Amino acid sequence: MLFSWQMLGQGFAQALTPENLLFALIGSLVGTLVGVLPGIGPTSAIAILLPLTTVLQPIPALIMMAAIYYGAQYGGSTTAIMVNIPGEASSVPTTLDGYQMAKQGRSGPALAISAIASFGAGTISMIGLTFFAPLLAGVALAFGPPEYFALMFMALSLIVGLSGRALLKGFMAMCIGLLVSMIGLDPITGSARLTFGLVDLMGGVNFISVIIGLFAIGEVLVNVERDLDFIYTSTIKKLMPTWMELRSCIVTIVRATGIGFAMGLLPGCSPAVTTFVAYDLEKRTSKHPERFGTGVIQGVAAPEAANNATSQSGFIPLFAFGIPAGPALAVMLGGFMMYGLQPGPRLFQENPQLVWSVIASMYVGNAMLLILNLPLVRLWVKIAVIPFPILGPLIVLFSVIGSYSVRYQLFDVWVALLFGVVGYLMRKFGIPMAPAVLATILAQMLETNLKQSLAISHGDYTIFFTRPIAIVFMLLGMAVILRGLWVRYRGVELELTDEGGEA
Amino acid sequence: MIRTLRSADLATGAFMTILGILTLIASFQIAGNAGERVHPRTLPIIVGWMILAAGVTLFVNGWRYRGQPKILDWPDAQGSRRVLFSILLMIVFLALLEPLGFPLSTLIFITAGTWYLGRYRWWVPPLCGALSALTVLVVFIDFLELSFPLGLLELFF
Repeated sequence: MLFSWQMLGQGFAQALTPENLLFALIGSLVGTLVGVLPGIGPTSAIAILLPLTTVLQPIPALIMMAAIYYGAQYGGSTTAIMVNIPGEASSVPTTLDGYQMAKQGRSGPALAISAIASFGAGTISMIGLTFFAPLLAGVALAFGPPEYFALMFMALSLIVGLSGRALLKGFMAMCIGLLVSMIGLDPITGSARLTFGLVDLMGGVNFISVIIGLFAIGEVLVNVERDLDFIYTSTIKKLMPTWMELRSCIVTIVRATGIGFAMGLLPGCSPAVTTFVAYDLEKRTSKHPERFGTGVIQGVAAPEAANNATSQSGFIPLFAFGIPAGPALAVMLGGFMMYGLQPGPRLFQENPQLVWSVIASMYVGNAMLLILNLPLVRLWVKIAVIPFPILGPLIVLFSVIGSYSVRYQLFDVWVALLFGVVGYLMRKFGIPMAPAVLATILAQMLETNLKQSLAISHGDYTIFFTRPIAIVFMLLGMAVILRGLWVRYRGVELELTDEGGEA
Repeated sequence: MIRTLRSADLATGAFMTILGILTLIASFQIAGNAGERVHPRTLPIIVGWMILAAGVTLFVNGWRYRGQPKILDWPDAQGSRRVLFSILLMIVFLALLEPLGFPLSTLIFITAGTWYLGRYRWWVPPLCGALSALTVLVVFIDFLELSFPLGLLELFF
C-alpha cells in the first residue's frame, strides 16, 4: 500500500509552504484565465509554459501545471454563462441553461452554482484520487515491460476506439503521432531514423512544439477566420442561489461527480464528453425534462460537476500507471519527463514527497479557485471580452516563446508553425487530435517497453498473451477497437473523443 | 478546392498513402546492428504500413461514398485572406526572429497582427506591439534569463 496519512500530511506541509502556495495561486489564476479566454485551452497553456518552468524546482512547477489544468475547468463556465461563449469545449452544455439564466437576470446564481458544483465535485474527486491512485499504483508495481506495453496499447486503442464514426481518422492521427515521435535517434541503439540526413531532425521533433502547433496556433487560425468581437451585455446582480436551489442541486452534483469521475479514468474520455453525458442524464432523470434549456439551475450544476470530476480523476491513471487520460494530461506527463520523472508506481516509492505535494496542492488549489471564481467573477468576465485581434497575436507570441524555450532552436518554432497549419486542417477535415498527442508522448515508452519485453522473451511476441495482466490489457484494447469498428459500420452516433477541442 | 468532406477524405487519403510509401522507403534505409532483438527500423516500418493502410482505406471509403455531400466549414473570401495573412505574418515573424532579435520582431509582429485583424485607432497596434516587446525583454530575457536572440539590440546589452 503506497498510501499513508503521514505522507499525505507531509504533502500538505509541503503544499502549504509560501512558495508552493504562490505557484498554486499563479496556476489557478492562469488556469481560470485560460478557461475564460476562448482560443486558448489548458493543453496549449501548459505546453507553452512547460519549457519556461524549467527555471523552477519540480514540485512548484508541477503544482502550477496541475492548477492550470483544473483551474481551466472552472474558468470555462464564466463566459459560457455570461456571454454564451464556452471558453472550453467542455463548457458547451453549461451554455444551454447557464446563458438562459443570465438572460433572465440570474447570472449570479448560475455562476455561483457553477463554482460550488465545481468545488464539490473537485473535492469529492480529490478524495477518490488520494485513495485510488496509490491503490492502483500498488497493483502497478507488479507490472513489467510486457504489462506496460499492453497497457499503452490499450490506452491508444481506447483513444482511437472512442473516436466513434471518426475511427479511421483517429487511427490516422495516432499513426501521425507515432511517426513524428520516431524521427530522430532510436531510444536504445541510437541509430538515426527518418532524419533524411538533416542535422535538425537528429534530435527528434519536440512534442511540445507539436502540441503548441496543433492546439494553440491551430486554434488561433480557426478563430482568425471570423471577425470575432465580444460584447459584454449581462450584468451580475445577486450572486448566491437560494437555499432551495442549492438543496435541489446536491443530488445532481453527486450524480454528475460519479459519472465524471468514472468516465475520467478512461483515456480519451475528455471533460467535453462527460459534461454532455451528465447533462443528458440529469435531463432524463428530472421530473421536468422539458424545462432543460430554459434556465434550469441543475442544467448548470450537472455539467460543471462532471467537468471537474473528470479533470481530477484523470490524474489517477497518470499517477498510478503513467498513462494520461487526455491531451492536457499528456502534456503534464511530458512535464514530469522533462524533470527526469516517470509517473507510475515507482514515483510513489521514489518521489513520495513530490506526488503527495502535488495531490495535496490540488485540495488547496480547489479552495483557491472557489475563492477566485466567486468574488472575482466580474473581473473574469471583463477579461473574457479582450478582443481577439489583440488576443490572437499574443497567443501566437507565447506559442513561439514556448516552443523556442524548449531547446532554444528556431527549428522547433518552425515545427510548431507547421503543426499549426496541420491542426487547422485537421479541425476542418474532422480528424481528432487527441490520438496524435497521446501517441506522440507515449511512443517512446511504448517502443522501449516493446524492446525490453522482446529481450525478456528472446524475441517471442507471444509474451503479451501469456502473462495474465498483459493479456487482459491486450484483449481489452482489441475489444475497444472492435467496438469502435462496430460503431463505425453500424452508424451508431457516439463520439467520445474531443474533436478539435482541448481537454 | 476541397469543398466537401468526401473530397477532403480523398485528399487526406491520397496524402496519407504517399506519406505511408515515403515512410516505408525511408524506414528500409535505417541502418542498424546485426543481432538486435528489435531492429531500429522495425517500428517505423510497422507505422509506415499502418499509415499506408489507413490512407488507402480512407481514399477508398471517400471514393465509394454516395451519401449527401457534407460541406466543409471553410471561411469566406475575407476569412481566407485573414488566415493566409496570419500564416504569412507568422512566417515573417519567424524569419526575422534571429536577424532582428526577439523583442524587435515581436514589436513588428504584434503591431502588424493587431492592425490587420482589428479596427482600432492608429496608436493601439503600435502600443500593443511595444508593450509585448517590452514584456519579452524585461520578463523573459532579463528576469527569466532565457537565451533569446537579441539581434540588433545586442549592441545595447
